[in-house]
Amino acid sequence: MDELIRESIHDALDAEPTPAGLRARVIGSVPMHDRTERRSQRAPFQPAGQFAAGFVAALLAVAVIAGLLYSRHAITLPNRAGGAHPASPARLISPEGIAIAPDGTVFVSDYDGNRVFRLLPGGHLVSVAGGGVGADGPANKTNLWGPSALAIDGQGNLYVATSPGGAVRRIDRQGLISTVITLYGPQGLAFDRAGVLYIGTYYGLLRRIDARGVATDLDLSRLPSPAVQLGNMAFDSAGNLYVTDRAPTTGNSPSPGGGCRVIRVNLTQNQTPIEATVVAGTGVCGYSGDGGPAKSAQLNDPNGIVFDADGNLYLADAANHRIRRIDKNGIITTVAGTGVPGYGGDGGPATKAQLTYPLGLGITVGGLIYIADPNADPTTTPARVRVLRLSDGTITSVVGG
Amino acid sequence: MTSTADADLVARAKEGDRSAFDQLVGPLVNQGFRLAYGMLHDREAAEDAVQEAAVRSWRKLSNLRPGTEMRPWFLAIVANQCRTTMRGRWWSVLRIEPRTGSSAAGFEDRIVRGADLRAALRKLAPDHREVLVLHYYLDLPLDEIAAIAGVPIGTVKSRINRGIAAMRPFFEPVEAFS
Repeated sequence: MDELIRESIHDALDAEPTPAGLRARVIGSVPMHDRTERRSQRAPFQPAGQFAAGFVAALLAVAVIAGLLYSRHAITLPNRAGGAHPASPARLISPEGIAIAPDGTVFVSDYDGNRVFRLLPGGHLVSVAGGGVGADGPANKTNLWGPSALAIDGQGNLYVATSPGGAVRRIDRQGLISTVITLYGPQGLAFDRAGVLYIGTYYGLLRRIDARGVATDLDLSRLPSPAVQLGNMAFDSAGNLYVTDRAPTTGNSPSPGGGCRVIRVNLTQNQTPIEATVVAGTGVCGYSGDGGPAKSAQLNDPNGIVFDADGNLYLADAANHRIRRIDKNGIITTVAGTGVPGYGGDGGPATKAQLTYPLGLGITVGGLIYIADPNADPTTTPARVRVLRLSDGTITSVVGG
Repeated sequence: MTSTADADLVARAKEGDRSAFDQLVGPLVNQGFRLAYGMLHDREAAEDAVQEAAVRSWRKLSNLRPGTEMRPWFLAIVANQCRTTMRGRWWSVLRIEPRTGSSAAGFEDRIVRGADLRAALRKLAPDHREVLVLHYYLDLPLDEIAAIAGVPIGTVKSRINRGIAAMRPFFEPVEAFS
C-alpha cells in the first residue's frame, strides 16, 4: 500500500513539473561576487588599543541596527527570470500610501505610477498590483488608477483606495483583486478591531462598511465646521478614529474653519450625529504652534497619521513639508523636516532633514515610521520612501536615496 | 547514495567560482523545487524558495565540512526556507494567475483527484507535509529525512503515520509504519 500512497502523491504533485532552466536560473542568481567584493572593499584593520576596539563595537552596533531597520531579510534576490513580479528597477513616481503588515512587510502605493509595491530590503520594489489593463482578477494584471491610502485587514487582505478611480479594492491572499465599493474620491482607509472598514473621501464623507458589507455614512455635523476633504486615518488604543481633514491649499482653507485639522471620532458611542471633535489645527491652513497645544496650531494639508506604542500621534503635515507629533498631552512638535522642501539630511537628525510634501505614514512595532516622500519634480529627483527612527530621531532613505 | 562535499569544490565555490558551486548544488535544484512545491503548493513560491535556499547555501558554505552529504544539507535549507515562507508573508506567494493544467478527457478524474490530494496535503501540519513529500515524493530514506527535518528517525515515522492518517480517505486501505 506504500506504493499506492507514493503513486497518489506523485500524481498530485507531478502536475507541476520542475520549470525548464530552473537550475541555470537558480545557480546564476546567486550573487557570488558580494562576499569577495565586500572583502576587497573592507579597510584594513589596524588595532589601536581601546579606541579601535570601541570603534569596531560601534560599527557592529550600527550593523545590527541597520539589519533590524531593513527587516529580517539578509538577502536580496535578483529578479527571477520570467517571474511573475518584476522587481526593481521599478521607480516610484509619487508614493502616497503606506501600509505595514504585522510581520513588518511594507507596502507603498504610487499614485501617479498607478501601482502598489512591496518594499524589499535594499530599496527594491516588487509590484503587487496595477500596471495592467484588467478589472477584477489577478492583481498584477489589473488597472489601478491613482492608488492612495492602503490598509490591511485582520485576514491579511490588502485594501487600496483609488481616489480618481472611485473605488476601494481588495487584494486577497491569493493575489486576486476585487472591488469592495465604488464611491467618489476615497482617500483614507482604516479597520477597527472588529474588522469594520472606515473610508474617508475627498468630499468629506466618512463611511463605514461592516463585516456584512453594509455601508453607513457617519454624520459629522457636530464638528464646528464641515469636514472638507478627509484623508488618512488611524485608530488610537481606545478605539477612537482619528482622521485628517486635508484641504490642500497653500493659503486659507476653502471652507472657513474647515480643513487643515485632525478630527477625532468617538465610535464607542453609537450616536447620530456622532461625537466628533477637532484635536489639532485651527481650521486655517498654515504653519505655527510647535511647543504648544495642537488645537491652537496651524497645519497645512495634513494627511498621513499613525500612533506609536506610547499613544503619541504622528502626522504628515504635507504642505509644511514636516512630520509633526502630538503627544498624549496634546502638545505638538515637529519631529522631521525643516519646512523647506528638498531631500537633504539622510543619516542625521530628522529635524534638520528636508522632506517634500510627505503624504503617507506607516509605523512598525519597533518604532520606525515610514514616510512616503513624493517628488515635486520627477524629472530631476527620484521620489523617496524614508524612515524616521523614533529611538534616536534620525532619518534615512530606504527607496530613492 | 548522494554526493558529498568535495573540499576543493567547496573552496572554489567559496571564492566565487560559479561552476564549482553548480557542481555542488546544481544537481539538487530539481529535487529542491519538488520539495518546495510539495510543501508550498505554489509554483512561484517554490521557485523563490529554491532560489533563496541556493543563496543561503552559498553563504553557509563556510560551515560545510568536507565529506558532508550534500543532498540532506541542501534540502534542509530548502525545507527551512519553505517553513519561513509558510509562516510569513502571503504577498510573497501572490500568483499572477492559476496555472492551467490539462483537461483532456480521460485525465479529468486523475486531475480532480490530484487537486483534492493537493488540497488535503495543504491542510496537513507543515511538519507532516514535509516528511510525506520527502518520503513519498522524493523517495528519500528515513535517515536522510531525519537529517533534513532535524528530528530522530522515530519522529519521522511518527509524522508519516500521522500525516497518512489525516489523509486516510485518499489512501484506503492504509498501511502505516508499525
